[in-house]
Amino acid sequence: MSFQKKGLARLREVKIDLLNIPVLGRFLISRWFQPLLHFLNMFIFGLVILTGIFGTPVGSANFSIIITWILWFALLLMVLVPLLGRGWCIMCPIPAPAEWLSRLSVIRMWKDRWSLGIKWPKKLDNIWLQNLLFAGVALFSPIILTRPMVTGYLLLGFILLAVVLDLTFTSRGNLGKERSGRIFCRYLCPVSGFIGLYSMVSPFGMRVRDFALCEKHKRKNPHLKECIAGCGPGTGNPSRASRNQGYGCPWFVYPGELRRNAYCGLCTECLKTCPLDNTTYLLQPFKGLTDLFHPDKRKLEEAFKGFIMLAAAAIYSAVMLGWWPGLKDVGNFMGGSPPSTFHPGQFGIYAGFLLGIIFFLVPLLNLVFTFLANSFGGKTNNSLKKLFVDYAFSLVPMGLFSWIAFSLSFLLINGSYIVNVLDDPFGWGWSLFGLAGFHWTPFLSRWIPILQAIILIGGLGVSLHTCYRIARQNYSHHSGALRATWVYGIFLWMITGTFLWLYLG
Amino acid sequence: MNWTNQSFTRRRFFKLAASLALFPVGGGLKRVALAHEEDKKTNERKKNPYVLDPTEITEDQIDQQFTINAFQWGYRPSVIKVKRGEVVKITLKSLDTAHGLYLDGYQLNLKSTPAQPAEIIFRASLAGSFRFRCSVACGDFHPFMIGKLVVMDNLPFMGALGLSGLVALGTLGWLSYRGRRRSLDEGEE
Repeated sequence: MSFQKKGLARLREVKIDLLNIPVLGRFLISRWFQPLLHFLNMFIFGLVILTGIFGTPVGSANFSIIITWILWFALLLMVLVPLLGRGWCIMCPIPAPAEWLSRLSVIRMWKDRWSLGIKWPKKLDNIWLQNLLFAGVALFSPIILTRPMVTGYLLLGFILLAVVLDLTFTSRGNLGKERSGRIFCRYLCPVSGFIGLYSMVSPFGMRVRDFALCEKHKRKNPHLKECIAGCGPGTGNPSRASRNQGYGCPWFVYPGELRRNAYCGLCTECLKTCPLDNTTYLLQPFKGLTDLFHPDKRKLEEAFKGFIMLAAAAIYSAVMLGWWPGLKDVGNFMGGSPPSTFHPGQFGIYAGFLLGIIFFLVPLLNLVFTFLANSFGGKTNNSLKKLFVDYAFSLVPMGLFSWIAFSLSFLLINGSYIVNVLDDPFGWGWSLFGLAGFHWTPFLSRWIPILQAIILIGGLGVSLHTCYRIARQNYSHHSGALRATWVYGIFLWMITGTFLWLYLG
Repeated sequence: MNWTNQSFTRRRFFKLAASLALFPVGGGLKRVALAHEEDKKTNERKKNPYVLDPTEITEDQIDQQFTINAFQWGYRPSVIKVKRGEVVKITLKSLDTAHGLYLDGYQLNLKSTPAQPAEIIFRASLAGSFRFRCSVACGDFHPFMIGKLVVMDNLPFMGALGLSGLVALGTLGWLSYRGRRRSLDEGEE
């Protein structure tokens, strides 16, 4: 192996074990860590709900719209997901009340979680519901994004839904036994679905230090896995050599088999319960997109999540950032306000347009290009369905980059409203900090299209590389994989061209 | 206590709570905002290099004239096309409520009410496609009220499209080179 290759291989192996960092490590496994983040976000969330419901109906002057859909959404897609994967799920306040109620505690552990114990249907042990719910939210997004009251009630509704579901159902996931936990986050939350998909691009996640150790422990103690059953009062497991007390995984994931970020909510419970000190938070800055390259783990519903997200980014860009007033009229199917009136005709056209692109056009194009890639690359032993799912994973980086490009424009153009809504959160004419004279100012408006182009072209490069790596898993020879990548690359380039046209055209 | 009083008390309570809660953010924010306002004033004092003084321009010096009607939530025409270097006059007429027109890149800002159209004359020196957007909060879809000015030729778009093609070819070329080398290393036929 050449010196250069050795260096690259060594670089890929760089792992920063966050639990080994003295103060940080102790803080991360403290029972205070997650509730502290919850408290902070609960306060902001409370303000979002209150301002949404009681504040001005003018979206650009209301705290709830600006903080949620401009600041939070941009930070989520531009910073949190690419760098910290499911980092938002650690601090998301939506499931916090449900979690506190099911534990009958906020910080201290004194009994295990409880729920009514109704089994979550096996058929729904996947992300199809999240896909449908996201499509539903996308369908109403022109209304949600512009009406503070709708945003306020929607978020309140999510909290209540999480309470009802988490206290009613139990699920097996891949734990091997029924447990109560975060049913809403795992199976319904529309945000969790896409964070999970795009977190596979992130260098940060929970992993075990040594898979063999877990395997050995599992064989030795088949019925006693602290990371599943919990460790501490009420769990049936004594608090032996573990670092702390903790609950079994509320995300229904067995850490000993976790190789992708997709379904781990980083809740830190397994970091506390592992008796072997084998679980940790790992930052692998140069690991690349390895989470996407586990062929046996790719699922059809994840492929569809990729289609939905990519198509939604394009549709939002056309409706919200485009120059077609007719499209905006169709999207604004609740008419003017006040009074808002539902226009079923407009809604029908918008729903047909959005759902047609999401569930028909993009999957169809993926199918056509998968078929062509397979034909040009040479036949493989895999079925067309498997290849359809495999190649769809090439769209994951492109989807994330397109969302970053979209959010960048939203944040820089409308970001100055943040000053106004902090000064007057309800839009009632206050001036808490004397900033009433601060006017809307778009930032870097001349450079936004250029930055968007750089991001999109970068996304194209990463997606092509991903496509090749995936094709290489299907072909035993390099030339076949390369030919398949050439063909599927045309599809990727077409998508990039569409976004470039929407932003620069 | 009647409804008005209750509402007043509630508002006072919210105001007090919000003031206390946002106080730490507010201090820093105020400093940033004031500095920004100062910068803005300084920038405004500097003349916008694209804007021409209407008193110094005669009618025949204007190459293109557009009357843009603004309404909730769009512009008609929503796309205007000019050639690079042309002198352009835009008249903004609001049809329903107060609207604005902020032109990205050129940083021109017009504000109009139904009773009072606004106009501006500028030289289209920058080539490309530039969004113009409403600068006066005019309702639900205000942030999405967007049109575009195309100053021919749209080099940024064509350049970006070409560059994306080059990046695609470059990536494939690199994958081809690397893959072939790896195949040779592994003794693959």
